[in-house]
Formats: sequence, structure tokens, C-alpha cells
Amino acid sequence: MKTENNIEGFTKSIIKEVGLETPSTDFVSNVMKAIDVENKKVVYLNYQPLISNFGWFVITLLLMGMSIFISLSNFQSSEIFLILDSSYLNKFNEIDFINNLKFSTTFTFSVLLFAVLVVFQLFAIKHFYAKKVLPN
Amino acid sequence: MNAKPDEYYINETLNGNVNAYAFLVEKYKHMVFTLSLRIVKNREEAEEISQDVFVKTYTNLKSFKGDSKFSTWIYKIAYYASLDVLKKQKRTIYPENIDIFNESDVESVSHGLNFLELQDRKKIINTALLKLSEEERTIVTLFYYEEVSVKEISKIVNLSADNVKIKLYRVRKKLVSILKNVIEPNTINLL
Repeated sequence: MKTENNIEGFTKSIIKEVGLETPSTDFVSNVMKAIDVENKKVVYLNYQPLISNFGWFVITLLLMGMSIFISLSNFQSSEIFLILDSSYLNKFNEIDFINNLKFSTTFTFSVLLFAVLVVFQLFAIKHFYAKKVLPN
Repeated sequence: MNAKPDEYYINETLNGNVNAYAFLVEKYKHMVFTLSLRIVKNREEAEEISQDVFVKTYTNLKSFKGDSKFSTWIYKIAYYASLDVLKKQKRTIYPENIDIFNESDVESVSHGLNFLELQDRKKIINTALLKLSEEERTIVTLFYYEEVSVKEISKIVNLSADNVKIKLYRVRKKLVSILKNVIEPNTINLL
């Protein structure tokens, strides 16, 4: 028991004597800088929608208002449609636009490739910015 | 500086006062750095790990429920972060085996150390510590330097309290045994 106490006291004394290691002098400031960067990252990753909730509310209101207005006012029988000459619209039917439209293979592949690249870039850029924090 | 309890600084940080966290970093930087350094054995790596530990602790501060001490939580994160680095680098650990321990060894080792200059003594003790396993080094540092209770240590290293006690008992003998082997050639050189 005495030996056990001796060895315990000895171990304690040598561990206390060797003490703790000290990190670099700017350790705390480096940690705080890293935390600052982390905070900015969090703010940045909170994507702001292009149209805010208020914006969507106004758009919905406008659309609802327009549809209510159209359904309530007898729009088709209004005089404005009688005044307008819509016969010119028939000329469009004479042109078989869809069937006459022809694209070369090169053009089709170019458009397809471009579309693929755009989609790829979209994901790549999003991933890149999610990892990288924009300064300020 | 540290008159207020850790909970005060934790709450301040959670309420948006990021600077309050600097007090916790200042308070625990030495221990976190020491634990990490005694595991990875490289100052640059230990510093990087310690920084990451404090950042990780900060980002997860909300999840700290206070069931255990903040120190226990941060030491546990530091311990596993350092072990992860070793694991990633596939650095193999070869802890020293215990030689036959004689009761008189404590006295002779103690006397041997007293003959040495302070810096040499520290160097030899550090060398001996580095010959222990990562787990043993962590346990012995926490118990004898920081005076962390066996219960708290068991939470940090994920062992039962009884297991920690057994390990402490073995480590004490192992340290004396290692020191004996380190000191003997040194004292012979001095003669």
C-alpha cells in the first residue's frame, strides 16, 4: 500500500512537472478567425430566394384578381373584340411552321451539348460556392 | 478571467456574443493542445487539430446539453479528432511493454531524475510519456495534471470507470519502468 501511494505520488509529481504544452501565441485569434469564416459560411449557405414570400403573395393576389375580373366581366362579348380585326391570325395557319422547321445534326448536337454543359455548370458552381466562402 | 462558470460563456455565445467563446478557447487551449500533441506527436498537426476541435465545438454548441461538463465534452472531441488523424495516416502505435516492476524502482527512478537538470528531466519524462499508448497518455494526463475524475475520464475515452482505474494502476507502473530504462543510460552517460 505504501509503495502504491509512493508510485501514485511520484506519477502525479512528474506529470505536474512536465506540465502542459502551449500552442502558438496567435492560437485564440486563429480560432476566432476560423469561427468568423464559419459564421459567414452559414450566412452564405442560407440561400435567399429570388422572389420573397411577400413577392409571391403579391403575384398570387394579382393573378387571383385578374382571373376574378375576367370571369366576372363578360369579356368575350365585350365590344373591344368586335372592333379588333383578327382575320390576320388566319395567315399564320397557312404557314406550316413546325413541319418546315429543320435543324442540321450539328446544330441539334450543339444545342444538346450546350444544355448539358449549362446543367453541369449549374451544379458545379453551386457545389463550388457551397464549399468556398465568399470574402465579405 | 475565468471567474464565471463555463455555462455563462456558453449561453453568451449561443445568444450571439461570439467573443464570449474566446474565453473558453483561452481556458481550454493548453489542455486540448496537450492531449492532441501527446497523441499525434507533431506540433503543427496538434495545433491544426486543436483549432478544428474548437471550431467544431463552436458549431455544435447548440447540441451541448450540459449532461456532462463542457471540459469533458471538448476533451472527448479532441481525443477522437486526434485518434482520427492517426487512423487516417495509418500510423501504427507500438506501446512499450511493461518490464518486471520492483518496488525499489520508484525510489531509484526518483533519485535518478533529481540528478538531472530541469530541462533534461522534462525531456526524459516527455520521452517516457510518448512510449505509452495514446489512450494511456490521455488518461494519465487528464487524471494527474487536470485532476479529472475517473468518471469523467471514462466518458472521454469511452471505457468503464473500473477499466480506467485498472489502466491508471498499470500506467503508473509502466511509467516507472519506462523511466528506469530511459534514466539508466542517461545517468551512466553523466558519470
